[in-house]
Amino acid sequence: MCLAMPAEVVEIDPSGADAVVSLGGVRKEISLALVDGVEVGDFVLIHVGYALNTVSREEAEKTLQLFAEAGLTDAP
Amino acid sequence: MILAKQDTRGPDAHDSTRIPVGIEGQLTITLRTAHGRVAGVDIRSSRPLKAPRIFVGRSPATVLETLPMIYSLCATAQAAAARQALGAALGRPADAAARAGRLLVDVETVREHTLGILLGWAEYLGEGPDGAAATMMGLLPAVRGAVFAGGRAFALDAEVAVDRDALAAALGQMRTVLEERVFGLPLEMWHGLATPAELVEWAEQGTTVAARVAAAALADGQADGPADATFPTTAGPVALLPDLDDATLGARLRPADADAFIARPLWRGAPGETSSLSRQRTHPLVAGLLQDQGDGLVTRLAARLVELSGLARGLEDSLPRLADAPAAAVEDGRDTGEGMGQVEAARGRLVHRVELAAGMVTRYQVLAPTEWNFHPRGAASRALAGLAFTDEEDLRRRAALAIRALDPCVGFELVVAE
Repeated sequence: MCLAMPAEVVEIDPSGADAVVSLGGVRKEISLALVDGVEVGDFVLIHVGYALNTVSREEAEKTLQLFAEAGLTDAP
Repeated sequence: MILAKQDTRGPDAHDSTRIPVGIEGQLTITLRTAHGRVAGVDIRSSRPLKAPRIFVGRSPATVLETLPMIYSLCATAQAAAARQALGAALGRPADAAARAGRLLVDVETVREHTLGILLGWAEYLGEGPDGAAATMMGLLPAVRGAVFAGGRAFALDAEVAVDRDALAAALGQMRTVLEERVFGLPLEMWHGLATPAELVEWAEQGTTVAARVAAAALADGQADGPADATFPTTAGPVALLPDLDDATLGARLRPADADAFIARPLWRGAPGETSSLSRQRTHPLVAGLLQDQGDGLVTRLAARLVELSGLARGLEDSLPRLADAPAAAVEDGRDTGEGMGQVEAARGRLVHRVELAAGMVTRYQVLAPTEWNFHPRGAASRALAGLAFTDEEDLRRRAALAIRALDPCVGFELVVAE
């Protein structure tokens, strides 16, 4: 079981290889090696330091809401 | 709660300490060392095993819609297990979409094994991720779109509608990545390797990450050796988890104390292993390796490669045939309000169990392979016990590879203690 939480891309490295995401206010550097065409403001799902795929803002908000409702996180 | 610790990652991260961001939790694996060997292994998990409660109070359709959003790596296996469990609870017969869904789980396993090799094994060699990994990320959506109407694979009313050209293109791309970046040989030829000697020959001549890691593991007798008798940390080999029918497993998951079983499962007193190795143990190469050197690192790496080559070939045969399959003739089920789903996912067997009342979920349980394989006394603990090393950096690299050979579905933090 591998829960994934959507994180918003807030910065992209000039090389395009890495990005900084924000997850509930916590900033974190991740690799973009597995995804194409990510832009600042996109939401991505992350697994151990890699962005796996992009999700829409609507999907991301819905998912964050679910986690919050289940008491797994603070309210988004 | 979100972990704020820094994660280390990337080609330079030989130290495989990885603090995962987010709520997926992690494994903390502590190795106690003495005299250049691992003398004790402690495995703790902070995986949020109660997360499936997120589904309580929701309708089956909502559960199936929500699942792929909250599980990333194994979304297909999770959705297939959920559709199976919910379908059974609703008394809906297994249908053509269920069969196609199982094949989609195999596609996910092909992707996960390939990523494990192109990212994780590459890291052992101190190399960055192979660009082909990104190509592999596109495989699953491409096949899903080519096999299911509207790409909706796991809705209760999912329909199989095969687009042969799109499917052929996706499968062709899969074969190219595997032959060029993983095996360095035609799939048939690699899958035909039948003896440990043939594996050695492939590893020595190969230039791919997989061949070089296999060569390193083969050359390193220590990595394959069973725990030294001086440092006994586990009692005997770990049993492979047998096939368990829904009724038997359901009886273990139904009681009120099932959460403890889900967190640290035992079957007949043993934390059975469920992995590529348990599934591929009868393949001639894996059987030969098991006989020669037991369930050490080489055997595990080989079992993963055997499974990868075999699944890829099988998918090339079975996916296009979905186009001619008649609607599955199946028996009608009964609406029992309770259902089980069992799926062979990339990392081992994944089990879902659901209870419904008045059309809504009242209980949802997930028993995942990581809990069997990373049980404190399970396969990972045994693989690490007795590991010999020269210095801490060497230990961290070896331990990370041994852990990756069992492929936990969350990040892990490795702690080395005297």
